[in-house]
Amino acid sequence: MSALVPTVDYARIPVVVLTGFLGSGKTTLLQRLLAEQPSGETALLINEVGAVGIDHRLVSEVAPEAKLLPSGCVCCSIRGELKEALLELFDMRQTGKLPPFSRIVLETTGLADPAPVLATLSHDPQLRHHFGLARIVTLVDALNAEQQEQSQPEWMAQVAAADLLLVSKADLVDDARCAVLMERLTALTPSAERALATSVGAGDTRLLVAPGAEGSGTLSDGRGWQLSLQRAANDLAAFPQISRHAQATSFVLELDTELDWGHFALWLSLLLNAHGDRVLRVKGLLDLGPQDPPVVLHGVQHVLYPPQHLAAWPDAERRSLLVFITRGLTRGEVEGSLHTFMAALARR
Amino acid sequence: MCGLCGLLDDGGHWGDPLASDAGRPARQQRLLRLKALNQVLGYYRLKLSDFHGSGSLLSTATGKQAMVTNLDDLWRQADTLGGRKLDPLDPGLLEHLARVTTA
Repeated sequence: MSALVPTVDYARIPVVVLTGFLGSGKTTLLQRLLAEQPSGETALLINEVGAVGIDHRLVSEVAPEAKLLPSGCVCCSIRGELKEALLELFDMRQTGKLPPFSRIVLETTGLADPAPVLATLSHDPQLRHHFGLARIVTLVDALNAEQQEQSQPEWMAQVAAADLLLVSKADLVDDARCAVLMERLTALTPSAERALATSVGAGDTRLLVAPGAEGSGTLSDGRGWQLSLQRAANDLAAFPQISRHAQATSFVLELDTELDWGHFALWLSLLLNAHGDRVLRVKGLLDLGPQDPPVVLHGVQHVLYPPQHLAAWPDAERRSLLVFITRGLTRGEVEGSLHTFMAALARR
Repeated sequence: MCGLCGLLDDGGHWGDPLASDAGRPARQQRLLRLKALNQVLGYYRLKLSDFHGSGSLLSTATGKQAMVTNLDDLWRQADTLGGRKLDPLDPGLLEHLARVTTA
């Protein structure tokens, strides 16, 4: 009797967002990643431009539960469809029509800006209880990166949003050009991990397992967060010249004094309201005082993902680190404003 | 929805007090936040006041009013009601805040 009752699992399902400009090799990567994976482990959602979803056909052999979003770009105007597709997958999983998959990979179109996907996942009252953003993986086409960077604003949005940057087609360019690209990516997105797409094998845990606090909402030791932010600080300190970029600037603010969360949230929400289109990415580890565990937050453009507490500081050093990737906002402006706000609001 | 006042719950905002602030009474947290917000809004001749302990009321010096539910909503309404974009990088606002600090 009990065998007929489906097991209901209410744990939040991690969603890996796979993005990258048109032709950067997302489908190829997916095929390699999901090949030989146990059936029913990963559900795939594909957002395809055009009436015929070629990507869907290619991948459906690998993951039969692939589901196609029919009307093109995942953007604010159709986020209802993304929500519908996610809830339908969830419902089918809960009622036993689909295997109890443990993650969803959402492949966006090459023209999609990842911010609205984040907004849908984090702001929708139904979705946020069932799904959590695991990470944003962005593919960068080594052959065309330079040209796409100059002419396609979506390219910049996708790269800035990344937690993991994978460079594809590196074998089609020489080593020197590849090194220049890697350096430029470091300048643009210092807190993201960087690797060659060819290093991704079947079932690669860098993509399929949620890192640290970006996972399903559980507390973590925060080592991943601190490493990622520390890497950003070190990279930018080692190569100050590469942090200056024609279209985007990245910088790290290190704060020695503890922050008041209410005041910081006031300042950041005001900054994002006024300059959300120029803040491509913000990622931070905050020291809120000795009685509080550290808090991590990350956002893409105007969308802030709910902050999370870590269980404890990863090491003895307690210091707030904030990484900004901006377009047209300077470090001086942002840092000056933050310090002025914190000093003024601290007066009781 | 609040059964007493009929206000809809907006489902929370990322800038809401964190769980670690739970040691401080919610009402006290709200009042402290209102005070901080009014330091910024005052420069634009706007004022935010508490509404039944659950919402907030934004007012202009000429009496225009709007209910706000969270920080994002507040800044949007303030832009509209005040007739100008509130900008944390505005040198005038920063000078105003610096004066508050040294006063």
